Amino acid sequence: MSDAITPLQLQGVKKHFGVTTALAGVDWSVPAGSVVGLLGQNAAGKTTLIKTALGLLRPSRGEAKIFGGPSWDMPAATKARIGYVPQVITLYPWMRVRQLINYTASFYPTWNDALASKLAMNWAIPREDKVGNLSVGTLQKLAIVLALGHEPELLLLDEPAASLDPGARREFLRTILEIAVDGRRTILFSTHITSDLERVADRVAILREGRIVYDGELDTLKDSVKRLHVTSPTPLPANFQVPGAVRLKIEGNEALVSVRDVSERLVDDIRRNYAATVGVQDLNLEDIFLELHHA
Amino acid sequence: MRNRIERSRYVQIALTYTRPLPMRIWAIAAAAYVLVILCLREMNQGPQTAVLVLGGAVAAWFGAMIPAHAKEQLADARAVLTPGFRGPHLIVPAVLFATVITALAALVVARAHAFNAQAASDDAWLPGYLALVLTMTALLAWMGHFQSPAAVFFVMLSVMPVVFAEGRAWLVAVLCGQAYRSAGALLIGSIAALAALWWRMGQMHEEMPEYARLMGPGFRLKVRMTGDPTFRRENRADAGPVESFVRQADRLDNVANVFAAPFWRRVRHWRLVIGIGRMPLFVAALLALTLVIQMVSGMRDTESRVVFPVVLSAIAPCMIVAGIWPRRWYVLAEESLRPVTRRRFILEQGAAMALEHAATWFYITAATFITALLIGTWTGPGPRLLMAVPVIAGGQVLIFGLIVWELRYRHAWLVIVPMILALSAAGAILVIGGMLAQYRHFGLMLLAGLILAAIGVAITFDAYRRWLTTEFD
Repeated sequence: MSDAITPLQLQGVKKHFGVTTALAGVDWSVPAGSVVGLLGQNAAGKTTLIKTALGLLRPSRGEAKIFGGPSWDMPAATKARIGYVPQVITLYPWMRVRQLINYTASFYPTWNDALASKLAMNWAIPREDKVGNLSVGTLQKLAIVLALGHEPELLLLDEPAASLDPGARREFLRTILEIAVDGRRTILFSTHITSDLERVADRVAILREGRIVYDGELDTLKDSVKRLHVTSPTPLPANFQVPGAVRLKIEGNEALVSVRDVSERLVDDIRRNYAATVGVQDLNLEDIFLELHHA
Repeated sequence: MRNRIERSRYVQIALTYTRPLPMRIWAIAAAAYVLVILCLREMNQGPQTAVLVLGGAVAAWFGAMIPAHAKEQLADARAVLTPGFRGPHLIVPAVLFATVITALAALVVARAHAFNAQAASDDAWLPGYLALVLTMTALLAWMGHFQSPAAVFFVMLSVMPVVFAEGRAWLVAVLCGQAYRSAGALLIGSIAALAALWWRMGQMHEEMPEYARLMGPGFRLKVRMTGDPTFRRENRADAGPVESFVRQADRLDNVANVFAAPFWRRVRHWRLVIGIGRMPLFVAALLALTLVIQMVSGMRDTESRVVFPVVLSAIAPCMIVAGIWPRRWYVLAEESLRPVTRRRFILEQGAAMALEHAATWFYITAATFITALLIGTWTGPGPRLLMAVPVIAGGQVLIFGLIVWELRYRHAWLVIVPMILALSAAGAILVIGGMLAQYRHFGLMLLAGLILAAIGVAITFDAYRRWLTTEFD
């Protein structure tokens, strides 16, 4: 039943902080059962988008919905289906880890003690330590345990792996895959670590200056964005243009073009029009991200 | 060349004292005050005393801010790693402090003499006035340095003598040069205390308990990133055994599930984190003990037995809760995502805070009133104390409303404003109560209490409506 409803949907969402526009009209939905990576430069609006989606921030315009209902005023049952790991983790410093886990568990109708204990053990989170004495990485691991303990159907993670060591990051990604494998759970996570995203995400959304500029399957994105190496026997004209180019660099007889929605026909056209040889290079997600942002 | 660089370095440090907003507000207030006292020519006794008190307050405010700002610079890795950092950063505030405090005190005393009114302040004696100002400054500076409830409580206790006639008479004697030895002792003691503070600031390192307690992040109530060094240090300071004991963290070892629990059961659950556990009980016991000591040591008049418990009952509870609740902002976003509707969440939080406030007030009032009654006789302070209860209780409802109304604003002055509001309200309530008490009519006091409570309920309801639209970012 719940799978039929879009877990997260934003309709024309704008968010302003005074004169600053953080979200400039976002129309976006996250399909049920998907693992979506949200990419964007610093200050692109990723955290604002996640907070607005969760109802922590109120949209200046438009509407944010979770499981079909308004995010701003979610019923208790809907909140019980959500897990959230914030970018900035602030927990009760005076509690011991096990006390904080007990305290968090007490609010949820379902809490998987075995899962929480297993994760805490795998990540070597010292259960008797005070939260205020934990290192940044351990604090982040603990926040992930607290967000996963009630086995949420929708999990939102705001740069969850930023402070994790490689081992913990691998364990985190494995956990995400385990959670996502049955297709019943939806995961949205923002990150700057594109290799993580490539490992677990099946969809990717790119946020730029408060707008979603790409939303689709990760493989489709990787298939559609390529880098073309154009080599002509004569110098390329100054007005050398390629349809769908996101980045173009011309040096004499050669040009490097990053193209979106590349096709065989486009490549053939370049070959024919400029009597050039065209090499097609696959890009990884990090390259695609940089190309799309003209870095 | 090197001398010029050094000079410029001292100037640069001095200029940092002009940047914080509280310092600028102080500068405006101090300038206005100086302008007023320079323009005044004649004055009655009351306003003349007010000039002295205000001058002392302006000086003490400055005197407390100077070391607080210096600490912001010294409780930092730069102070340890940068060669020659500490010396200039200690010398500049010391010079500023000595210059401004002395100049201000001298000006105030000179003007008090110039007013030529028939008042005790005509005889104001600079060393005596300076001794009082420096004592107050040293207390505030140490309180600001440690920023702990114990330090706040110690300062409150220290200024308590002014509530009583004997205490005020002694202050006047110090001020007018009739109590040379007391003035000398205060002067030496306060200078020694300030020197010790400067010495301690010069030793600042991460293992000192007060190292993390800085003004900046506390005022922002927002952490910019996980691992923010200042917030982490602050957290470490809150992770000690005393904090856990006071907060009764052991209650979290076994907690029942509250997902489908009734409203009040959930409210009690929230009190585990909203409340401050055993602290109200400790404060109540400590205040009762102070009362015993003060009364045994000579404060036996009925007036004192009434005034002291009434003042504590009106002021202490709101100071405790208003000082602690702003920190809820750090965890409010995540707590608001617990499985509960927004409306219910706000109601539960508010009810838990109200219960906590009520319990704190009850412990403190019971401890101080019962102590006063036991030490005195029923025919002494008893009826007057009981008569004060409705006004103070109604006043607490009003203060609660003001605090929860104001707490929505997550701004730089959040920690201070509720305290000022609460203190002002408590002061007003005490004045109203004092005026009505002259009629010795319980019904009148009850009516006043009910009116205060009704206003408090109205403000609380308005606060609730506003909280419904507040973002928990």
